[in-house]
Amino acid sequence: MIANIVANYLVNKGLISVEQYSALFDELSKVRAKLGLIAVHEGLMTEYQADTVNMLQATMDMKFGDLAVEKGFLTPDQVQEMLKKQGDPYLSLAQALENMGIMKLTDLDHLMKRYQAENEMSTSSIEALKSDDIERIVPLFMPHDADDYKDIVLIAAKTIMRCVDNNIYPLKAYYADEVEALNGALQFVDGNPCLTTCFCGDGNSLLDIACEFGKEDFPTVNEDALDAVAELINCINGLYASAKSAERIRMELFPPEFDDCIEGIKGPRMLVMPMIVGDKSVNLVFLIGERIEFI
Amino acid sequence: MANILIVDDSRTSRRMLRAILEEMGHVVVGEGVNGEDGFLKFKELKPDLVTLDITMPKLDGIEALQLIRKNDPEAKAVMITAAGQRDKMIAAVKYGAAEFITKPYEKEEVEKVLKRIL
Ligand SMILES: [Mg+2]
Repeated sequence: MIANIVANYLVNKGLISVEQYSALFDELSKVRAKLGLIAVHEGLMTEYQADTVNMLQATMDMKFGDLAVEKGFLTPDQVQEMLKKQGDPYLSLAQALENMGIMKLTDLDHLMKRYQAENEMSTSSIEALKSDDIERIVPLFMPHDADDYKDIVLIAAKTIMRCVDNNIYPLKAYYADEVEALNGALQFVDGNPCLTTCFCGDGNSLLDIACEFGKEDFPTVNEDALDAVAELINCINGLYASAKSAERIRMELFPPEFDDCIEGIKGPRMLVMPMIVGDKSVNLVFLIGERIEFI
Repeated sequence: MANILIVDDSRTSRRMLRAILEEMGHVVVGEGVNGEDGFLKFKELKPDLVTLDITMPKLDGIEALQLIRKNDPEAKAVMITAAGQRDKMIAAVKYGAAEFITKPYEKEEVEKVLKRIL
């Protein structure tokens, strides 16, 4: 998720091309952070020192860690600790960007500071983002008074990642009484409080979800495609009902509805979370305590 | 190999379950698109087994199960549930459901469940 958020930011800032964007994900699938990069990140070595050891390493048949210990830059314990960080999502991203010659770790750190300022985020929020932990990331994109929605939004995000696309990421969520859309699927879940979950989009923005979840090549977002989206919502709401039953809240799933010819949806103060799925933005909309209706 | 009737209001879910059942060598003799339709098809087709989605319009899966078991007390029914439908599952057991399968379908789970009752 961190990789998608940063890569998207890089494209928007014109710092990488669309080709580099897709190449970045190829690189990410095979990269592990190198010890030199980790040492710089941990403040144990300067970039210059790491480069020096890297260069020496190229001429001698020695591991980076052994060489850095021999040169007195690191202790063996520090090397052991660093080895554990090779799979770190943020450092792997930094390594991939460095391997591709796009930027070095220090540049990425600067960029994250810029991102933090532009989005008015706290340092702990940026740390949460770097952790790549969906439980910590998704709430960063929600309004501060949306605690009640945290469970359903997280279940929705995790289920989409499991059943549709592992590379989704959220945009800033907001409240609205109406959302424009051309097609959508929704399900009302009765309970105290009740809940409506709705996925809506324009044109073919829901197509990836429908095709992946329904395991079928739908040509457009037609009623059959929306039926697949509705079944995904049914699974999400079922998992939510299951989580709520642990709090002794009983919920009853109603048959989902879908429509491929709408002007939008409405409901009082709905929580709208735009989610990037594939290369399309889909609106995940939730309303606790009321129904959402198609308009 | 068994003759099976699939009852589910979702076309996607019927299609996915049909693919798994046919791959296992069973014959899907028909599909019902809601509880009422499912009951009528059950009477007409007399399948060895019926799968009943719980959340459906016009008669839900539990109501369809009641009618089916009243019509044929020996009828074998597998309920299809989303997670979090515990109350419905308890009701289904009361009305004689043989087994449960949770959506989204996993082939291994479907195989295991059918092996137990066929
Ligand atoms: Mg259903």
